[in-house]
Amino acid sequence: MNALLPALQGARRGDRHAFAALVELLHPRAMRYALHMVGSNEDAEEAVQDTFVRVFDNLSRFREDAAFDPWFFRILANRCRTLIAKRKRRYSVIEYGDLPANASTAASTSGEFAAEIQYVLNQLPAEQREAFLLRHIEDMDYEDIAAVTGVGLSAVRMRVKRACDALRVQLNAVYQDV
Amino acid sequence: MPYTRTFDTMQEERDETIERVRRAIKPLPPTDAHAVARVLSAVHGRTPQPTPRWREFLDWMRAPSLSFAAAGSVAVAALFVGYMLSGTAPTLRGPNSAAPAVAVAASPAVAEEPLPVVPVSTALDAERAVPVQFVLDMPSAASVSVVGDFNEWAIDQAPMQKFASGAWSVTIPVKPGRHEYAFVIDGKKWMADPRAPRARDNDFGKPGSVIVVNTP
Repeated sequence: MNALLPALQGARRGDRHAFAALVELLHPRAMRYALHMVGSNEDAEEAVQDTFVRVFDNLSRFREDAAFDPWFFRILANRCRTLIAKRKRRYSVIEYGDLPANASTAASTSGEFAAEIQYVLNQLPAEQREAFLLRHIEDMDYEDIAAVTGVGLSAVRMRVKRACDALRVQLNAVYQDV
Repeated sequence: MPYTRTFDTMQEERDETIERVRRAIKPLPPTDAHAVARVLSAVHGRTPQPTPRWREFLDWMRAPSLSFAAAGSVAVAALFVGYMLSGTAPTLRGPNSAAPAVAVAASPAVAEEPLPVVPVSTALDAERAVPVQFVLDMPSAASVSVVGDFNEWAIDQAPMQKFASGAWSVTIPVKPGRHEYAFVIDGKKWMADPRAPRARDNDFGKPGSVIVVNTP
């Protein structure tokens, strides 16, 4: 948030250079979340772009002393949920760039593992996938996740727990020897 | 009972499996400068919601407190607040500039100056056309322009601007729909956009790319 603050303050004042800096700072994080939520690069980019448009439109209403992450991710999570409901995609391959031709076996294995993780995530109900990503990838505390999702703390905890349990069961069954 | 945040330890929830999952999918994807450019094109021309007057007032109230030496200006500040709340004050948010100054920051790995969105021409129907930014990495070129069915393939219609990174950029209005285009290097060499789908064929028998512009 420290690196974000000057860009955020400038963007709130209408400085478009500052908004561009804000986009560049947040875009990778937003794409990481959206990719794992919606499962395809094209859909993730659409969700992220829509999010930044909404942020641009409404930044003046954002309280500067409030936490930015929950506000930003609330918009992003809403866009992802809308896309999921609209597209009802089940499983797609995530592209993080092609591995080089001489990629080691370890790198190939980790790429397969990432794909397997995404497969398991895609089988989860969207709300569990969302809670897991916010908790264990975005490192949000439960209060912020509750603010993002609009559900209570108990429900958030339960969703995270169920997601973790499902991941453990599925991944440990497949990768017992890894 | 006072509200306190739950400082439960994430570590308790993260066993070896969850830690392996985090290591596998937590790394950030590389910054996609073209995707960032598309975001900035999408907000180009939009007018953000004005700051509500009550928000302006609260922001002003949260400003650093005045020193004792400035205590005399409290009365002036009170008059200012009254003026703002009277509804006769001009908005603090000035009108959007007609000349956009949106920057497309380069990838962090390159650490270059940002690519500004160049003001669009008015040759096309501005009511329907959408600003589209074209970017090409070509440090060795002396000139680059984008040609396409949106500007009658004229080499002089959309010259691109070069930046310190060696990237060339221009933003031009393009009507929604499918379009074919190419880059022309140094006035003579045609080149397809390496980041866009290839056009199967064009009337010129030269390499080209396809872009689909959505209705805004």
